Amino acid sequence: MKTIQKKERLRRLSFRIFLFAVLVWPLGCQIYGMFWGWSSLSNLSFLIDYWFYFCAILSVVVYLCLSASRLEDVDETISGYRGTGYYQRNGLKYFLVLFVVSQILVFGMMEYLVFRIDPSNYAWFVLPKMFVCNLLLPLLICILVACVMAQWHNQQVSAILLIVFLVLSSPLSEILLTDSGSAGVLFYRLGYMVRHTFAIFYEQTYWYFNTQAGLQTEWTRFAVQFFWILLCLGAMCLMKKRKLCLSGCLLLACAAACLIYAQLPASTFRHYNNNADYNLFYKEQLEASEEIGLREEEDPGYTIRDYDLTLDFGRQLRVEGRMVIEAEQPEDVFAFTLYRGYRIKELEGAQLLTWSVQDDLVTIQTKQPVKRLELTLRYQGYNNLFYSNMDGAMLPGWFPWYPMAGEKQIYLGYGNQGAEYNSFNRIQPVHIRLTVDAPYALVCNLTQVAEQQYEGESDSITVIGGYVTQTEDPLIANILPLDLSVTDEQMVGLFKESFQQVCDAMEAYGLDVSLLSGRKMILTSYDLVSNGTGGDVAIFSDYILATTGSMQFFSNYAKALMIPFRQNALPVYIRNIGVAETPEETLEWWSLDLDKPAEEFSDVEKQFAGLLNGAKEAGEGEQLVREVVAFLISEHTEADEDIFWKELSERYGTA
Amino acid sequence: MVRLEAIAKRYKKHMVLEDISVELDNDTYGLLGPNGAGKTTLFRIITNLISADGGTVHVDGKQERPQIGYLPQKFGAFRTLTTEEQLLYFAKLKQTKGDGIDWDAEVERVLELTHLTDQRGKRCGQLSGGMVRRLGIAQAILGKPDLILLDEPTVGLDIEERVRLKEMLKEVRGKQPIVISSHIAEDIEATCQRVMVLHKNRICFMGEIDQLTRLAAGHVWKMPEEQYERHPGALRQIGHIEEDGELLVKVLSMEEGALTGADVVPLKPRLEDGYLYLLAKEEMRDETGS
Repeated sequence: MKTIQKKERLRRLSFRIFLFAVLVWPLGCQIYGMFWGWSSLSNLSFLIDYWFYFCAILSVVVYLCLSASRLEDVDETISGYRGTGYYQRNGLKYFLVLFVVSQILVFGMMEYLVFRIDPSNYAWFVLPKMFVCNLLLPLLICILVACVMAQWHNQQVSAILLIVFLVLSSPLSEILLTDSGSAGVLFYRLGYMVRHTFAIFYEQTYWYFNTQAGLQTEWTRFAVQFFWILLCLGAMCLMKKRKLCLSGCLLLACAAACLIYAQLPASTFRHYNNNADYNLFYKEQLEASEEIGLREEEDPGYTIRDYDLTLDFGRQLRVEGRMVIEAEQPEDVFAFTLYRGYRIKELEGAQLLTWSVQDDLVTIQTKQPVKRLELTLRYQGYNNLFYSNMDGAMLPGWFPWYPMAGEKQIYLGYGNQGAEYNSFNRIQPVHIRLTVDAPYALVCNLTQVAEQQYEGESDSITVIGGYVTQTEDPLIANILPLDLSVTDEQMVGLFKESFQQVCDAMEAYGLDVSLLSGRKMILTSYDLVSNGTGGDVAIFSDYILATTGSMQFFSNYAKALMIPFRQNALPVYIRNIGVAETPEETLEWWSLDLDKPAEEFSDVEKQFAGLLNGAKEAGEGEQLVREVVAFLISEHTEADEDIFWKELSERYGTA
Repeated sequence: MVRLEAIAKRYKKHMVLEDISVELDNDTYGLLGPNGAGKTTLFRIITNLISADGGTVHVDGKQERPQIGYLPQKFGAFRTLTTEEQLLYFAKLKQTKGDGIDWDAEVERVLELTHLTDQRGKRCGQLSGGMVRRLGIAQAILGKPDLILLDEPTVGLDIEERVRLKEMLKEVRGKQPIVISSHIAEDIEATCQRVMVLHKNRICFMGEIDQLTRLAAGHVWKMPEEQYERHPGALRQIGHIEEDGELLVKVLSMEEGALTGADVVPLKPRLEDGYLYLLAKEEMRDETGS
């Protein structure tokens, strides 16, 4: 008697926990957020962080409540009872009613917060989509999966399947299945496919939510979620009728269609740090012990003079267009760099003989040497980091998502200090015309000449799209409304203040502020930064591209101006330690980095410590900092670097 | 009294139950019908396991859902619970506020009634088929159900268990309507006072056991095989009887009047004869369309 009472009590308790969790917790979070003045988006983001754990617990409770009687064939027996065993008899109905009520309450609360606190109109339109994709559908899927599993006759199999489902949709599988780059490409691809099928929850990856494209609400993710919903409904239908039925089969067929759609190549802004191609490159480089840093670019003797490109943002980026290659001397072989994720479908030209692709390099052979070559081309594809889809676009000008004449270096590796995408790639300033078909607002470094058309002369093409708002300000080109907790005007003011601080820091080092002035700032989400070693800020001929979260730090501008040539490890090392707002702070910063036993120093650290100690002994520590920063930021070649370091070594008595 | 009113159920185009309307007193009813006639569907509708396309179930004119003790064809119990725990568990599920039942005493009562007192500490997974069936009966009669439905209660039981089950049912009858669905007419004959025949979606007979039996009076005969072969089409063979080493054919004559011939002997009909006669007559009626 005690046992049964205990079991009964446990079941009732778990049911009450469910009630509590479904109703109280998300609502509690809303009230907590409201108390602290959070925006709805922050609230949503906070809930999403823990949503998997919440849903996992709920699915186990649903499974235990619903399966207990069904699995032992007791269900039919108790169907005629009129007692309080509601969770066995009407469990599913109760769960779904509670689910709907709680979600309506939470959503209502969020919309209330939008109305009360959020200064941005975007949240009215963005919030429902994010809410459905990140809270409502995952929770519904978990309840449905638990219900299907509870109806399964074999208890062991259903319990194992539920556990497998929860593990594969958990953040753990994000790490296990997508951070396995060293396990081989095939394994990685399979892992990615499996992971993608189970990616019903917000994927944490390594980043904060994307303020340009929202909270991972691409159609591919919806397709994955619809797959699970249709699969569960189809399975329920078949299980209930215990035979093949038209409705069940139709639902399963629709589920299969959704799965296929979800698995087709598509650009998303989820990226897995260890498997990002720059990191795979870094691993290869470490194994091959190759040199580090940026290779000094050779002049190929030709350049792309005119770009006329049409961009179409669908599942992935589709580009069609025309470009003109001009050479100084007649040539019969031309090469341009286009990131390997973009596949060329068509490349035609009057003089064109053949073309071939080797990794990121496209080589063109003409019938006879020519000085001018007109090409039409069509390509499509995506990069895992620089997304370009129906929700948003983040295509920085330094990344070869468009053809760049000659062989460009796509990745930068810094020995054991990591790797990143090379943000120093530029094209020769040329005339560019863009026609863009995107279902969202866009910001481009070129001048908008008509609806969907941009034109101008620049050393790059940057296209930023999604939840962006163009401003009328002469300095700040745009803001990202999802970032906001203050009004648009206040945010522009804050950005300008930050930029002024950077200019002040430039002056403190005696640097020429004109290196930054006269350029508009295009702001992007933090996802532009590949791994934190660089790319937060890139300075182009006519604009500055910066992430909203890091544009206020002078060190990021300094990094953007210091070219990390591969010949000498010392500048790369200094660039990676960073530069503070004033020479005094920088000296302290650098000294702190060397505050360890001398036997632990690497070669480059020994060299740097020698210089620094020599300068400090001579009372010229800050002078050294100023000189080094000024030199690294100025325009120079690899040969200039040799001379500069040699001079410093002689002055401060180091070899 | 429980009243079923115009209960109907259709699976796509196939009509399973059509206008089932009966009033059930505190008697024991046998529900007879060929396979697929809709007996289990009717039980499942009454217990709310599946919904009807139309019709209602009333208890003493009340609109509220009746408390039903139901023994399904495939009765399942939690294998890890003991017999007593299982009944306490069912008691918990049957419990309603202010029902005034001492459920612990009630469990004791049904344990005794079903002769399971000695098995109270045994896990359900270790019980024999007969014991599980008795446990099923025990949960069905537990509390004060408004209606007891027993779907094939004697299936898979040996003779001794069947006898015991029949005795048990006799003990509980009279307090509420009990409906027993079975293929075995003998079981119905031994335990029920009244009988319903479900045929082709509807109840084609409802009355006393004797009434159904009497339908076949004058229609059941026994005769040698050669005699039977002389009446092609007129008679329906419904069994064999062995007498003094000779195998005789038991037949059902659908026509009125005595059969003639050597060794053709009338038999006193039993319930199953009445049932078969009724079905045959229904079929003939369907064929002629009258």
